[in-house]
Amino acid sequence: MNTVHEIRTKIDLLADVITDRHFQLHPELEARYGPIGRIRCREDAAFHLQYLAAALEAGNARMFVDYVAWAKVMLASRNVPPADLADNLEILASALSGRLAVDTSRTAVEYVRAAIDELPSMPEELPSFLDPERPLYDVARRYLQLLLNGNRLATLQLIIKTVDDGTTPREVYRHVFEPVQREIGRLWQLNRISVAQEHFCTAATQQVMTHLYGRIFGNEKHDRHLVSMCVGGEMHEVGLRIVSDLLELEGWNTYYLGANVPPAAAVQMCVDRKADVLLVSATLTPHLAAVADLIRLFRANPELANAKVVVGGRAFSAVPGLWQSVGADGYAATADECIELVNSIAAA
Amino acid sequence: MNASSSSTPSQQPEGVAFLCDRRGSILRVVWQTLDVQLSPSFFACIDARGLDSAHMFFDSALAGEFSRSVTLRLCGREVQCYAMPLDGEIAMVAVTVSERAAEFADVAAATAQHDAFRRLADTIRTNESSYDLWEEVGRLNNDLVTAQRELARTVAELQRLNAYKNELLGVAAHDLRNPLNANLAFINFLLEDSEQFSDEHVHLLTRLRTTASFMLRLVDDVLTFSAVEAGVVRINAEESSVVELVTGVVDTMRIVAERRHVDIHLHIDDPSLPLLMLDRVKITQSVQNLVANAVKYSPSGATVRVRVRREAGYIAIAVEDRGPGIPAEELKDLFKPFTRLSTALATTERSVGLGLSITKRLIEAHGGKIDVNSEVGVGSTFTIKLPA
Repeated sequence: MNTVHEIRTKIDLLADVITDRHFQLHPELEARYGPIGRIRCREDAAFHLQYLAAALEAGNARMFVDYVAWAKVMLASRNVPPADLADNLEILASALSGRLAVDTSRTAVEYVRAAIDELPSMPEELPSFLDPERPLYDVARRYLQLLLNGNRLATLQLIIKTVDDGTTPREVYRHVFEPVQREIGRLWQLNRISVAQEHFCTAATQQVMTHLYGRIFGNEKHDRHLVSMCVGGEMHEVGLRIVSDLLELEGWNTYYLGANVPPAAAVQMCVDRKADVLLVSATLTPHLAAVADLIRLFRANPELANAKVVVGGRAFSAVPGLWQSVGADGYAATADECIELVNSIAAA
Repeated sequence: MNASSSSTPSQQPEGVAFLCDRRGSILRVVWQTLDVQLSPSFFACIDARGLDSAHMFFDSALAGEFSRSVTLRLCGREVQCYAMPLDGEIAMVAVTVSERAAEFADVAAATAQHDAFRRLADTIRTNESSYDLWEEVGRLNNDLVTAQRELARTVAELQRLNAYKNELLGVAAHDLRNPLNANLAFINFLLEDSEQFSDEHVHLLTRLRTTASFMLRLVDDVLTFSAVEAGVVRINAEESSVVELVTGVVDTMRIVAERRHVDIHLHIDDPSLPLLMLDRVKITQSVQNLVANAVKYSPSGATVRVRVRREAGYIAIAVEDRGPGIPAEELKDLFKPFTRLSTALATTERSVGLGLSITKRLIEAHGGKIDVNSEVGVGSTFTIKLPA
């Protein structure tokens, strides 16, 4: 049996074992965390295992270490101290032994140990993505505040006025939408906003973006075509939208497919649109396998022999070179990097 | 339904947990000793044993719902009741104190059927559905924004193609105009000296002139249309007398009308109408278009009536004919380019269907409007209204 598949099929079982063991060793947690403690613990254990499976699939321990670094910040802000996380990971490591094939178990435990070793040096806080030194800082700050207040109409008015006053859509995307979206993700990670608020803010920004389309799609085009998409029905897709719109402003003919297009249909779209570049985004590392599958399908089509694949998104940012393992031609960490990379591919 | 139970005497609170369906039928019951005082921690206890909580849904936005409870008096004792979503159903949890495990089944049955408990379960069920809807709304929003993006891209592409089309039309028409003019001049030159030709040759030359004139008019229309479409028509406004412009048009058109035995009657309601800021060439072209159409479609012996009058905020120029009229269902497309009317088929006149669309755009470029009243078999009245 495929090692990763083996873990995935046992996630429920392992999560139960880890949770039981954790509460057995620390009965005081019942009182400390109240009714949700055990359920959260189980939920977290399942997440740890999913990310561990993804790291094993990629053969890369750093992926899991990066996830644990993210989880440390997220859990600390929800009153779960790093010591509890460390305990949980220890229990996870011991739970794997004897419940997986020996080789899989050994590698998995190595990955978990690497994360435990680095845990003390991982940051507990994250700096804000809104930088007073960046252009349009005041607009970004105000825009974020209006979003958090749930005032969608006011966010739209602010952006339209900003553009009417002479700021280009490109600047709004780069200095308002992108950092504000990152900041919203940070605020959720730090437990300062709820999932509901995070989703509202994202949906509101998407709607505001549509009001700029008239100023984005009317510009001069060159004869280059790009298809962009997310995989696995991922809801975190606004980053790719931002990049796609910025590339449209650069003169590319961009076709944004969203997150729900089957791989075969996406590849066919690349053929139909004579795509020079396919841009794929993944936020969650468990989606990396789907990216690899998509790229394999893309490569198998002879009509796309000269087309390139660029990947981006948080799933790739933790581990240098991870993009190569999924078969991509390039990786970009930020919108600016992506534009530079895609333009250089077109120029080559 | 199997209740797993044992007689475990205890000084601590004990609980019964059960899963029931929408109708309150109990699907599964478990009970156990609680290791904490009456509190929602009970959830956590049953989670590990009696009920599989793998698919339990907890979210910070809804967490408050899980601490909801009702206190009931059932089977002679106080029962604390909770509800939560589980595997597509609502798990009901009742917590009470007893030393006899057998009583728990009675408590479970009484609790499941109790209205207050069922209301609580319905609330939780509604919240669960709301969350699913909320997720679905999120996905639909993503799809909507994606569709809006594609729509914007398509609109921009169509606008680009339209601009190319106008440019092409303009260039083609412009390049056709000069040779057509030259041809017309040659034909006129030959006809001036027509006595050297046979009657048949003169007839052919005359038909050639008619065709060349039509082509030239078509090219002029296309040039104007492409300029209007491209938004490059410049209005050279100057203070002008509408009465003077309309009188000039009528005088010119009388020559054509007489050839067709059509009379044109001009009526000025108020000769002291104010001067307007107009592009004389374009307003003349517009009025001439309407009068030419009226003459063209009028039967021999008919009268075309042109009337200039003052209306609220406008000066109106009405052109009334006794032509075949326009069917009501064709009126909505009348001012669209290349529209050919069914009634036009009855005439011998050729038309490309650009005149009215050009006229409408030229009038609108002045801030004015044009409308039409027509009745099949009676005639039509076109009215230009220019802001005064």
